[in-house]
Amino acid sequence: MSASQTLNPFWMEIADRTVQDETRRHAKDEALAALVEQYASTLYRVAFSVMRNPSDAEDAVQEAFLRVLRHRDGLGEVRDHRVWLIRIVWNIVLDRKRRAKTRPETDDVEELARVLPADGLTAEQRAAAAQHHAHVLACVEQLPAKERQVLMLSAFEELSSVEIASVLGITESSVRSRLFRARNLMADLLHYPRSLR
Amino acid sequence: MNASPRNGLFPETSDRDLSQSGEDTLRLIASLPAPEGLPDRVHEGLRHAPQTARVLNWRRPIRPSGGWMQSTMARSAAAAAIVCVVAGGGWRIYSRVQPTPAVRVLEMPSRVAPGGGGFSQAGAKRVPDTLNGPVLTHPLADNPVADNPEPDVVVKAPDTTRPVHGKRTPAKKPAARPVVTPMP
Repeated sequence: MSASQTLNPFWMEIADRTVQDETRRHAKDEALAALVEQYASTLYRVAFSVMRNPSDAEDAVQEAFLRVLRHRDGLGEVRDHRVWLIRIVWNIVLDRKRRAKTRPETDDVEELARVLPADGLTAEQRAAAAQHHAHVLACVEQLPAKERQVLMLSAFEELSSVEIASVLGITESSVRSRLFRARNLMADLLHYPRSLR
Repeated sequence: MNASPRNGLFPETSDRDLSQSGEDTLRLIASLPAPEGLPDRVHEGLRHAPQTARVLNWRRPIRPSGGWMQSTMARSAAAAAIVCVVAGGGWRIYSRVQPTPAVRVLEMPSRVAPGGGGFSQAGAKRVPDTLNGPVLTHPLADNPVADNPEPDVVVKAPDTTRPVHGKRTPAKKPAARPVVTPMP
């Protein structure tokens, strides 16, 4: 048996493993692309609900998928990709919101009034609606952080209480109790404006 | 209790309640459509994102992630080679370095030479300290003061420095000056 015949299986194994690795990586890229197609819109809406700025929300979505790209080897271990991705982008936007706390809230409200739909409304009605939304959002900002987060996530129809609990890392009963408190506080704030802090 | 009647958390919640709690605004924000072309932009960003960091740009056949290090035989050979190199280097160093000699005990010379020189003790003998205290041959009396009725009387000498009425203290005489004889 010559040396070349002895080494041949070794190099064949190297080639096979290289091909398998490339195939595996290609499959992961395809899985990531499918996640982008399926959940980019949902993640954008979640990010926008916190950031209230289209470009900031898009940046947050981009960063979320970049994190997924870095940890794509563990994609197969994720049970629910949708909740997992929402949790990633939720943490990103909360972190960014915390850093940009010095930014005046009026900018957010003006930006919101610009992007909210106002089809079929007169100019006066549109201005009144914008004022109402701004007032509601100002009251939301006065809520305690825990109640505020639950209230904002509950506005997404596709998220159940179990999924909200998974995103926030709390129990479902905590979600329900916090939501109950948030609704009561919001009703008080909207009808009897006062400071909760 | 539910966030919205549509996702089943608060089935008894009406639209009026939602309006009162301001959730209509939040739901309006949550239902805003994503901008056009968002997935394409995300794809583009992922395509230009830096891949996992590599310290060295290995050639494909010997790239660690390329597969050859995943072979058991190759890993065993690499581990054996590393062990041989480390053990050989250690043996080479050990064989070249001489062991240090044992530490000898040096005998110090006596300070006083027996034939003279230095200081002698002048015949003095060292007496060891007395360990036991003095022993009383008879017991002491209970009140030694009572046994001795004569008190100690201290007679003070008259103070000559203080002036006494009617008397004058003698003035101090100046010290006698030495007679200086002029030298011729």
